[in-house]
Amino acid sequence: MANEEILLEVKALRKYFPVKRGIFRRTVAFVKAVDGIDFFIKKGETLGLVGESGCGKTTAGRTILRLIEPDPGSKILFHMNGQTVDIAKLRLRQLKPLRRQMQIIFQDPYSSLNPRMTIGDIVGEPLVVHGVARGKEREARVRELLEAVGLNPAYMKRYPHEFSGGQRQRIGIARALALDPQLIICDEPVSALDVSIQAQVLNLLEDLQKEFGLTYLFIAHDLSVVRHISSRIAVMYLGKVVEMADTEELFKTPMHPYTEALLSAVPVPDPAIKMDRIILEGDVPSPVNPPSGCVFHPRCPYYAKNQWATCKNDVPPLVDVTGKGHYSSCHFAKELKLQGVEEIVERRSRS
Amino acid sequence: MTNRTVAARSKAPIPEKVIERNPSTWQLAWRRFRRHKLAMLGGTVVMLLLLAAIFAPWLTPYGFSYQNRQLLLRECGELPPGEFGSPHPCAPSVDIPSDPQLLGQCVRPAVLVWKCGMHPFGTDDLGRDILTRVMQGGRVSLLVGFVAALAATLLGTLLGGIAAFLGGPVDAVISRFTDIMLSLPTLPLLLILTGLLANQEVPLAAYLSQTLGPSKSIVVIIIVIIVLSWMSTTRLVRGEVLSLRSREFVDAARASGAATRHILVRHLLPNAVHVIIVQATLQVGEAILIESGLSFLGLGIQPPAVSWGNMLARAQEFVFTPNGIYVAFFPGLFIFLTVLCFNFVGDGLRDALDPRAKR
Repeated sequence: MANEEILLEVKALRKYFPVKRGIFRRTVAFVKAVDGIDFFIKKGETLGLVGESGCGKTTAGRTILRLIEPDPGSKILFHMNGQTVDIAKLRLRQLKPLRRQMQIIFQDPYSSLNPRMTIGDIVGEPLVVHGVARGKEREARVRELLEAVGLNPAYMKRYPHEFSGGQRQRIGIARALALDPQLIICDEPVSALDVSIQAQVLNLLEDLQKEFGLTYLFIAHDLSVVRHISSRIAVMYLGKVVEMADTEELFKTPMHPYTEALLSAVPVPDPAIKMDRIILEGDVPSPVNPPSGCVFHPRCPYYAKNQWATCKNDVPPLVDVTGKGHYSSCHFAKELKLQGVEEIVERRSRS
Repeated sequence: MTNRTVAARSKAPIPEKVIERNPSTWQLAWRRFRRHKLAMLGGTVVMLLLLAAIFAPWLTPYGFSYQNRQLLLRECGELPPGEFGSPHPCAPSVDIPSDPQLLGQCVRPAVLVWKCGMHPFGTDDLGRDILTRVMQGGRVSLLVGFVAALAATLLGTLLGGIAAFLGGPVDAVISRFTDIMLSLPTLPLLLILTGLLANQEVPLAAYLSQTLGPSKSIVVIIIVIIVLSWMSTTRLVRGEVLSLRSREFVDAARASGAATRHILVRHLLPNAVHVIIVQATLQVGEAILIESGLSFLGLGIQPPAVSWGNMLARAQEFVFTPNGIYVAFFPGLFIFLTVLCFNFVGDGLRDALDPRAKR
């Protein structure tokens, strides 16, 4: 199956940020931003990576690009033309050719464009760095890219401050496309935009995916956005992937209590519908000192009810529960009968 | 596909003229600067002062060490008025004090009133034209100000940039060294430094006096000012580069595989340059102040070279004699004007170059 080909495989990806104190900058603790996660992305698909603020989504995305150095032991396998490269092991210099294959779109359309460069220079910068096109050729390529993202190429000589947030995000997308990459990491590309602009940018991303055969890792916290664009979803909680499945399957039959709680929080634009929200107790624990066993157990409603000892003592592995690509890291994934969106949404008659 | 064409079409067709109009950030900054009245005033005055200083040898009516002996002698009462031909139309209108102690000693400055075309700013106690000397002194003071400020800013930028970019122990060493330099008391340090550099036994001082001769004191003062004033720039640039380094456009460049040099030259420097320019401008005024302070203490520019500072120093003897205030007034006025105007320009630049500013 051609479209089942795996493009990127992340294994035991880990990033601990040291917490330093005192005049000697002694390391007193670690923030376990990404604590050994595994997932894979198939060629041509969009993998949504969701989770609440501070769960390590962005760190995960950036370590894949080595914008943040992953901790030793992490494996980031990139499969290309029948070859496999471990990005985590490469020297920075060896990494440069691979940079052409992987690009990133940032969340903040304001800080991601250099205010002192024209948008032509911004979009053309990757071409300059890799020396792939110069002079007229580069200009033609930049025009092409601007057109591809729905911007007037006549704007080339303008500066970022002359554009709106949505237009700036398009410029960022054009820059990511410049080197014709295979994988684009979209780091919350629409969360800083208006809802109406969000839809435009999402549709643009989908169009570009079809046109250029792109693969996306789509990082977001908005479940409705992720449901719209992703073919598969990975859910993160406190530096770990807790569940990964095809989008519809995840929404219909979640296999992790955290996912269930997340789904119950998705707003439904119909006043006649009453949501049966699952309210999680307490706050997200500190990633400096995560809970033992299953990181979710202190807030898990099922643990609260049953007090299973395994939840507290054993770290659950991420396993394929159904055997058909539905991964969950809940000890009781099979036993629990969790509610999907349809069951959570209880339709009431309008009377 | 449909969405893209819709998005492209939704923008109204743009006339060609509008497309061509693309003010760069620098053009916008210039527009904002022009609207800053005080800064424009300061800038104009600074330009005039600079021109006057540059063209001083052609503009000044006298040589800077020329003494109008005739005037001097007449003022001292040792020469009857009109001895050397007919009295000049701009005859001195000074009251000659009848203090017997001063009379005949010729230490009293002969100062002419403003209306006179001969010595518009008057003369000093040796009969030297103050206008000429203010212009000549301005050459030295502005030269010291500019060179010292430029060098201190370059040094500060370099150290701050290195500290922020390399981080870790390098940053710690540079930052702590900056803190130490900032907490040293300035005046004793100045005294020690100038003393050291004046001492012929110090190799650098010996070398300087060999190569530069009488203008050595200018170079010494520049070195001293640089040593004293790089710290604020270092701190500023370090902070700026640290904040820029975490901006996402730098990450974008790194994700494209850009080399460190490319990031420095294309991203960090152009975005930090406005802070550096403002700092350099303010530093010029500061350097001129330090120079006058040092010269006032007799440690700065040594006669026969003139600077505003050593003119002031010389004037202290006469401040309380009649009309003697002019000897101090004009160099003091020019120090004041120059520093004030540089500060106005600095303020104007700070507002104009702020990337967060609206048009």
